[in-house]
Amino acid sequence: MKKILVIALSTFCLMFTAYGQAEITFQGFASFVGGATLDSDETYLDYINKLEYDNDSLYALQASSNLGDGLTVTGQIIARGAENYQPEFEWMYASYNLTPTLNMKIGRVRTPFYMLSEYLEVGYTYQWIRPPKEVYAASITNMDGVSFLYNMPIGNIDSQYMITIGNRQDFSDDPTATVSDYKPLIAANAQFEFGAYTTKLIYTQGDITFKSPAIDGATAALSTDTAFAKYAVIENTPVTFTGFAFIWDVSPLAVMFEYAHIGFDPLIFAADETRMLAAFTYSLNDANAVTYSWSSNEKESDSGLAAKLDSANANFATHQAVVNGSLAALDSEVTTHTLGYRHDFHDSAAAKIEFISTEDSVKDTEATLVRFGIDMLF
Amino acid sequence: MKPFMKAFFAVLMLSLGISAYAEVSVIVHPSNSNSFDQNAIKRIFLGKSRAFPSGGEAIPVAFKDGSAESNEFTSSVLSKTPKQLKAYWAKMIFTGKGTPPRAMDSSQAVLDLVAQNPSIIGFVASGSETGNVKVVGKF
Repeated sequence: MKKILVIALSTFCLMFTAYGQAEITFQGFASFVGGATLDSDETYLDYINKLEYDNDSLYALQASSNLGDGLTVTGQIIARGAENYQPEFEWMYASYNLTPTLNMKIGRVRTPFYMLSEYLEVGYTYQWIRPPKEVYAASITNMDGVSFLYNMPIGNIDSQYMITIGNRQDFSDDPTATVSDYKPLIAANAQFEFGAYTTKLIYTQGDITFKSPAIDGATAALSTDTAFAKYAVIENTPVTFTGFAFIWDVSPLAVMFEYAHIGFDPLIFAADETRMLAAFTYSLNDANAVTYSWSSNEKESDSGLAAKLDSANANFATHQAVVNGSLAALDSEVTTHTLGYRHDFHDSAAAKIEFISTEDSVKDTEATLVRFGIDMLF
Repeated sequence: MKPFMKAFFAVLMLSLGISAYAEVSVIVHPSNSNSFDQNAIKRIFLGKSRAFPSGGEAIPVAFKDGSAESNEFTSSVLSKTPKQLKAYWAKMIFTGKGTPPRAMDSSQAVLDLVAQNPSIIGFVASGSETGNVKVVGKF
């Protein structure tokens, strides 16, 4: 598989370096993770009560070519166990330094939704096997467009501002989805670093379109209530992500807190979400660390929607059933505790193990997951 | 007694001199008239700044990982452990925000590069500087 990735990436970079003498640098990261839930009816993060090794394992290869004068071209291919190790271009872009403090990228770039989103899959860079899904679940990890990054020191504070404008088509893994787009998608963030403190403010907005037989069925069932129809179709529906995070790193202790809110225009298919996490990492020495985190995800459907149905409509009773059923399926309140241990047994590799306990107080489900793995850089 | 004291002080001075070997000197081309504080040097070597305070392009060069000079520079100037630095560059590389400075094998290689190119900033073990480079800080 590595051979295929190397050939694909070399070809990509050679397209740009045909005229130059620029060399291609290869770098990569990989995670090999296994896990299982502890009880036969429990599932969490796609793990079941049998040991599986695909869900979080991945292999990524990045090729970069510095063409000089501030121009570089980069491609990154990832093969994820969760997608049957099908290699795909996670990102590929040309980067140009417009000024010493302003950089522009054009192509496919990572979506900077949350604090760690841009390096979400580089396990080596953080303490968990993967950051808590309660905050870090994202239906998209990349987008196509233009991105600007501006660096500005304010006294002793390092500040960075980023804005990415583009779209993302066919994002859904759902094989029944016929259309799944974020068009347009605008992501902005500001990060401030001062000594042991790092703060990040995030704002993203986009218009989402999603169609599948299940959604189309509900849309059709409610089509005679014309005033209500707009709540039963996901077509260019505005969605916003707002969040902030901070990290306080004062060896041997590091604390991270993150909060995010996802708001949809009223829909019977999507609920507003509130996401939070708090994590504490204690480094026993340079090669060992213990981490505890609490994370929560609350989805609250728009209960006022049922009241917007036209009670005079002939199919009112059916409509009510469809709407209430759809709304009830959306609500959930998940709280998760994670206890993890990291051991850096090698310069370029870390071994980790995690015990995760999670429960959904609305859907009344719970699970305990044990996950272990190795994260590598090369 | 006196000759003994002299010898004692000589040995004391020598041993202090030996422990001072752990210092690194940050060097630039003699024509580089910028003044640097630790923060400015740190920002250039961490890829947060691509230019000198006066505006000219800044290209940092480092020593290979694991060398005494590299370890000393990483801890005294960058205030990181080697592992923290590795994780930092992994974040930068895999988010396209920068690449680590070129790692040279020897002091002579660093001195040659710095003496030839006004954009380069590097470091060598204190005491290895030659006359054709300018020292802008010792850590």
